[in-house]
Amino acid sequence: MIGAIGFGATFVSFLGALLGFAAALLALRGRWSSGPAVRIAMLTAAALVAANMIMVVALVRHDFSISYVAQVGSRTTPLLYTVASLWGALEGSILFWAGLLSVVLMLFAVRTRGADREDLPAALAVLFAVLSFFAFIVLLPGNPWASVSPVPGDGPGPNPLLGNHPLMAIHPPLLYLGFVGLSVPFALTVAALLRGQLDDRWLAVTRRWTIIPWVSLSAGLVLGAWWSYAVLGWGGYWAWDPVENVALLPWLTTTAWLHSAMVSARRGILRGWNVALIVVSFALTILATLVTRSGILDSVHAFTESPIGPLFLVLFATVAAGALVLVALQLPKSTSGGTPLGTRGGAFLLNNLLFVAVAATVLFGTLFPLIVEAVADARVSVGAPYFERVIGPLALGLLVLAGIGPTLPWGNWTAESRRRLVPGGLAAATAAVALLLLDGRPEVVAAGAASVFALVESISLIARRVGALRARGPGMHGARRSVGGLTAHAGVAVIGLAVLASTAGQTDVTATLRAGETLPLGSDTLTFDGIAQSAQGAGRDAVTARMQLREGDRLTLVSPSLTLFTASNATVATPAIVPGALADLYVTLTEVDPAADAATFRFARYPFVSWLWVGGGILVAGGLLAAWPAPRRHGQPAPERTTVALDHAADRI
Amino acid sequence: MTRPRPVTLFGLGLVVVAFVALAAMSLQTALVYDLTPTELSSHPVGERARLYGIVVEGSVQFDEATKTLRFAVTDGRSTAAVSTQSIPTALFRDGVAVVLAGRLTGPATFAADQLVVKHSEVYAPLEPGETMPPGILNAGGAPP
Repeated sequence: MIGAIGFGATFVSFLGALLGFAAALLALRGRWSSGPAVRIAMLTAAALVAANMIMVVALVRHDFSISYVAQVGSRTTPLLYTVASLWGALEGSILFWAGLLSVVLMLFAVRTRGADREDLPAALAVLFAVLSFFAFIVLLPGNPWASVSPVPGDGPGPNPLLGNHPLMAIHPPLLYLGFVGLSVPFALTVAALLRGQLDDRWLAVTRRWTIIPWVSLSAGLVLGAWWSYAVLGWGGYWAWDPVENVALLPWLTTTAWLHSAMVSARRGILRGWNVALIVVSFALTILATLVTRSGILDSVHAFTESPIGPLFLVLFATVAAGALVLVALQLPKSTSGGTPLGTRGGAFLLNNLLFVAVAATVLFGTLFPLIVEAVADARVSVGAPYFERVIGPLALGLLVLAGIGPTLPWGNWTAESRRRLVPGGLAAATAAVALLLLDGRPEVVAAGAASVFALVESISLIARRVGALRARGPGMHGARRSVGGLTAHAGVAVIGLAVLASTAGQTDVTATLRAGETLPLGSDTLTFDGIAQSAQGAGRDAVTARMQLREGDRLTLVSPSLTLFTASNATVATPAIVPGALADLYVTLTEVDPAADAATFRFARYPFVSWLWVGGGILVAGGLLAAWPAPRRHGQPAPERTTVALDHAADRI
Repeated sequence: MTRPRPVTLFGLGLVVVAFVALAAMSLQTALVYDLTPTELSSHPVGERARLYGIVVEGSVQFDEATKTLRFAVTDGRSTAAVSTQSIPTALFRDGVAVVLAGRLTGPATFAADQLVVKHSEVYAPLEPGETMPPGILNAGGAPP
């Protein structure tokens, strides 16, 4: 019954998306106003939100007559993970994706309708077309509402790895929101191309609709790394796994766009390049879905088992081919000349080339095994060393640029701007000498010096900007964007330092201890008290090792555990992490011998790894600061114009 | 916009060539074959590879003196003998799917330096007699 209602809501939303597409086309031809399309957007969003809510209700009520619930639900799964299993498997995740897209579409329609947006009908047509595609998949090949008979008494529950940490309830929606949000800049760009005017307003509006998805993607990626660190138990946070890689790709190209858009806004050039970055970012979000949701990773040959993969491939090809044709036809008349790059523009261009090189490296390394399997019928793996060796030098260049770029003037390099490099330069030299004595490996010295340089430069420039604004009067309008950008740079530099320290300085030891034994760890000691068996609520049994960490006078309880999920007969090791500002202690229980009251552990120290999450937080905060709308006052020009004018002013500070 | 000078173009070309060379070289060192026990015999001894298979029931032995773990893995058609000194996790037992990173020591023998037990994205325990479930190869799980 409830399944039929859910299916009905999905069907209504599919019809709504098609109608909305038609209404938007009519508005585009000037037959209608955009009013009907906007109202249809609201209706469609209501239907898809309802469909998602119905699925959540079905999951929470354990209605196993619905195929998706029977596939991922279980009576023993805690409520949070039951709700989170909405996006835990294929069909639900596409339903959730379509729901998010419909809400973003509605917000875009409502926010843009009041103003004189001649691009609205075309942009709405693009978004409705994409939404129809997703609604169609939910309706037919990925229908989560199919009825199951006979109705099973219980289900297997979600993948144990996904039902083990609250971060799993936040990190995927943030990534999805980022992916889905990137369809708006794409739609705006198609609209601007159709109109034949890639003007400043296109840049300003597109930027506003790009930065929120960018923030969301950044947060999703960092939280995903955190989840990986806290759950998977091998101590790492990034494995160059294809699923991680395809989520990183749109972030890389969008970050490149956020930089190149500034050159376009200031100098009027690189507009075609900006269009390319936006189109590629959107295409990469489709590729991400294609790669993670089609079974292509299991085997290229499993690709055609479900029609969903090929359908996504069709969408990907349509976007790529359509964009190519549109760009070829419309770009020459859409852009007008500009002024030369200038010093800062050159730095931005270099930044873009580096970002694109990183993205190309990741894309190639991710797709290479698929190509080999398709062509030569052999399976290969591209290991982390490939990514690290190629991306390392590029990342180093990006860090140095993050420090230098903001000090550069748009015109010629001056003595004044050279002086601004002094604080970072001194700090970097100090760091280099310290690391040379401490570690000595050239890559460690270079990466450390570059990160310190970017961090100190960012902080000193923020201080300079804020100081100059104080002198001018209250409020910080105008500097919001540049301070936001510099804050994001500082966040990236902190992430760089954390990655470097936790990789270069990690130490680990594996040991088997009997109850009562004590292991010395540097100046600290760890005492193993014994094993405790516990039923952690229904459906999971846990074996926990109780240990005490003594650091000087301080005692901390450390309890790594192994959880057995009875429904799926899978064991998940949950590491115990003692976080610290200087280093985390990371203890994983690898084996238990109850007869001997002994257990085997892996003890690892990861220096500075906590700063990775802090750096992620700073990055996101910087993005939010830059995204925050400037205060609108009566009689003042539109905020984006104000910001550009004040950017000019800030430049002279 | 002014046209870029030939020197600039040449420099850029050089950078691109250097980058592609670096990428190709790194790929060569980081690339390993993913093999099943059946495919093992057609690869040269000494080659680095990753071996995928199911731990054969009752084959696990631990040599206390040399601290070496020995077991057999199968893909349903052939089996290969594995030796490793890495300590298995608690997930390791008869019948689980494992990924072993290491080196071929013979047509049907493999020395592993890393042992990973794989989870599939949607975990289904193996039925008796069932071979590798589809989807176990590359889905989720802790990387080495």
